[in-house]
Amino acid sequence: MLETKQLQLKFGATTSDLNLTLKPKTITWLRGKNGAGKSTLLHTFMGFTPAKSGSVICDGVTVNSKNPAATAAFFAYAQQKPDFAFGLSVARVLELGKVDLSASISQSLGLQKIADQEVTKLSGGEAQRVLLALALSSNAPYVLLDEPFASQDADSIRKIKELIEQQRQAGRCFLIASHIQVEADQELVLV
Amino acid sequence: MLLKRITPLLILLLVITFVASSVGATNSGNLLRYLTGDLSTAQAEIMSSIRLPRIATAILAGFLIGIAGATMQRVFGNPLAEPTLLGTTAAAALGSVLVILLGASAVQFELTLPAAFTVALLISALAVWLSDKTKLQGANFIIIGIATAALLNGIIATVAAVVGSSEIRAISFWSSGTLAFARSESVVLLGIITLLVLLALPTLSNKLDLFVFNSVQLTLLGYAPRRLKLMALTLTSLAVSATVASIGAVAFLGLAAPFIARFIFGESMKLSLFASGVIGATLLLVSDTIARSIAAPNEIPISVVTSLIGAPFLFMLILRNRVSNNA
Repeated sequence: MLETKQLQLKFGATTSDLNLTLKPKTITWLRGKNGAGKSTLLHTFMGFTPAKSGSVICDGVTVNSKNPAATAAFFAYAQQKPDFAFGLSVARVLELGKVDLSASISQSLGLQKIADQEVTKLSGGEAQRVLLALALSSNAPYVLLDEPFASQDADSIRKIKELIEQQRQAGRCFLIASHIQVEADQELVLV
Repeated sequence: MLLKRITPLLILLLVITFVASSVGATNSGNLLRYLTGDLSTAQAEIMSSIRLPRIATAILAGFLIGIAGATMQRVFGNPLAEPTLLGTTAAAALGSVLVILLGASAVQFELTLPAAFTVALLISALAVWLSDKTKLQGANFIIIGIATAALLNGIIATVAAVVGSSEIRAISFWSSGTLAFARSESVVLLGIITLLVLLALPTLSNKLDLFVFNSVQLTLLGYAPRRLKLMALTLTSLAVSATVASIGAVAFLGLAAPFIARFIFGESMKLSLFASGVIGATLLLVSDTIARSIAAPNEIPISVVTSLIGAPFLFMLILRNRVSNNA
């Protein structure tokens, strides 16, 4: 279980205290206008951005920048805008991320077709699906996704939602920042 | 797979080695005739004590500079990062100069190498800290590197101007670079460091590909980004220090060799790291052979030749729009 206690973000328009509980087998839809602090919230949860005040406690462990091992153990994350540093092939990037190219996740996300392409030359949606494959293939219990549907076509959105639902049923906990509606157990609106 | 694809490069290097062995101010035969015992005693002496050590030095130093350049470009995510531009070379030179001022001789590698390595590693660690702290990227990061290199070179030049005449020759040798003093001692030094680098190569090439991810992703994959960077830069500092201690600073090689390697073998360091080394070796051997033969018996500075070969690659790099993409 992930809990925030009187969490205040360092960046973003939101000034209210965030008291939030994320439980296993749930999906939380994080909403809010551009600039409200959605991406900052995800980074604060993982300990990459320090909180202005308050804390994030994950299964009894305080998550912050001094504890990168906890961050790695608890979280999987796919950022909104991929920023691969150079043009490795999709297959190589997945190999480095310990993702099986022949596994069902890679198949659902259509990565086999683009396995030989350079990650820096992919479309925004394709590159983001590579990041989603990394996040969805990890064993971390909490999956944070930043606008996972923004650059995707209808078919990809459907497949990504199916994967999320499968993994939720298997016990994972999702926090999804999205402008597109997400069927969720709870909603968190940043204002 | 690796050897099969790199074989043409290795054959090219072998051919150039043979050509280089037959070129020189004096007619001393060539490598083949030396190996078959078909040379006069005087010719064989020139071959074994001067020409072959010089060729071996060029190959080993070029290999190390190529590897160091490729590694730094990955670590800093910048196609312009290389030991000379970022100040690592000048730092190693400064380290060597400091122990020479304390009384060591320029060929006492057991003293110059640790000093060169220490200062080079310090400057590398500073660069990592600075790039993490300021998030400086692209051109701005390189400008800091150039300023660092200029500052260190300025200190070396000032020291050279102040101290007595016998040390000046040794000190000016660090900043301009030459293989004229290459002897079997430098071959042994470079050989040992090259062996270490070769042993680390499989791990290093794998780790360097990880820098395709940003530090957030690396952390989530269970890696410590800063530790990865420092590990890689420890190796490059060692490689750069050994080359600086034996031949001084060589311009552009660390930039050109990895660029050509990636152009031929692609962005993954699985092939391109080793290839950067082999191409660096080939370029330095060609450059040195030109440097010592084009105006024989006079020599032109090695960096003049590597700049003439390397600068066009910088133009190519910019024309291919890589700089603006990464800046």
